[in-house]
Amino acid sequence: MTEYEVIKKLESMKKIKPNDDWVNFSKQNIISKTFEPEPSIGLKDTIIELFGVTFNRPKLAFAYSFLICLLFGTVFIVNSPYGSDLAQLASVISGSKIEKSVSPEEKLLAVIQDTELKMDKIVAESKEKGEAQVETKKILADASEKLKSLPADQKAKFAGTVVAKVKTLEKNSNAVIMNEKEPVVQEFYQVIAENEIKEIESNEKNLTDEQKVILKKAKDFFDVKKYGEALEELYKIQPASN
Amino acid sequence: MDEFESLKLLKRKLNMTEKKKYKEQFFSQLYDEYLGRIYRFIYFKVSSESIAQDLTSEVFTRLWKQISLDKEVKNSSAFLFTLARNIVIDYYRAHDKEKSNVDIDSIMGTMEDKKQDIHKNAQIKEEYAAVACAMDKMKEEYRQAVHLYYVEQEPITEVAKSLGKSQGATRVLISRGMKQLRQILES
Repeated sequence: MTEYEVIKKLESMKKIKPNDDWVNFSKQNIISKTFEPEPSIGLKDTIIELFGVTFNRPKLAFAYSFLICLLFGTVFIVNSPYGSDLAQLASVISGSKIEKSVSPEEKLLAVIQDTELKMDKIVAESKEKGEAQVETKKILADASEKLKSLPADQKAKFAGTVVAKVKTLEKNSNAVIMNEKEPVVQEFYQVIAENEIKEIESNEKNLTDEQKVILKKAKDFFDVKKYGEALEELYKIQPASN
Repeated sequence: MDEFESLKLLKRKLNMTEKKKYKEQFFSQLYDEYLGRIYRFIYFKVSSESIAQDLTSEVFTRLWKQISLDKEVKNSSAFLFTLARNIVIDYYRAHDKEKSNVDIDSIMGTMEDKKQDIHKNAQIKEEYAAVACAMDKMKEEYRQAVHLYYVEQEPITEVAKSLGKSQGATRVLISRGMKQLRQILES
């Protein structure tokens, strides 16, 4: 069969035609059919369908639940008023202290107020001598810890306040509460004495010869860690220098 | 219901009737134009008059659905041939059938010339059987291109539209199709 013959055969196949009766019947039959538009799937249905499928699979359900919680949680926390505090909390958790964001002055004020409040409470409650002594020691131990964490330039002010409060307490309760030989008390005296010596030394040219001798004596006491005695000597200079 | 409302309703009804009439005309036009081609296209694949009629009906029912629901039919030819191809595939899938061999008696029954003598008819039948069998063995892409170009005698532009290809690519397909058809016939 040549190509021409093949083409002729193919062309003659067009003679294949459907039955005329069927053609007319089929046409009428099709046209008589009516179709209603399928209800469109709204957003709600789409979401239900999507999540329905998702949550039908246990592994996906857990994964999606976790992701949704994480997403909403993050959005809520970031937008909440505690959002900025979280950074501080995170820094505490990671080992760094919250004090980083608090100014030294604020910290000192807070520490002083806290110690003063405790002291005032003992005075107000007019506790027995022994009881007041025990509680004051606790406060001093606590204050000693706070003293270590304070900046060098603020230590003296805090130490002075604490010692003054204890002295008031002793005066009110008519009893010796603060034992100068105790290491905690020594720490406070050391800080105060050191600060006093520095201040007087900065003003040394205005000192009299007698005051200079006293200052030297005080320094000697300080060097041998007799801070109480050193302070006593220093207080002798104070009135004259004023 | 006042007069104005009745008038409005009547107008709406008239509009709907007009619209339906227009849709029916459009469908009727496409039906008349493509029924034969689609029928033959399916017929060569299923080799059964009744099945070809059913599947052809299905193709045009879907077309009517498309039109009656105001959905756009851009390229009627491509739409109908793609639909026909998919419906035939679905048919074979649903009936779990292997592609049937070409039933030449069935084909000849629809085009036999009663005036010709029995000998002549037998010879024609034999030649058609050979061509139809060869067509059935062709690669689908080539078969469709050759069918549309030679059997349906559509111009290249229309064949290209129906196949969704460029005219150049369509010419290549037809040429390769013919080459494959001849190779099959010779073997």
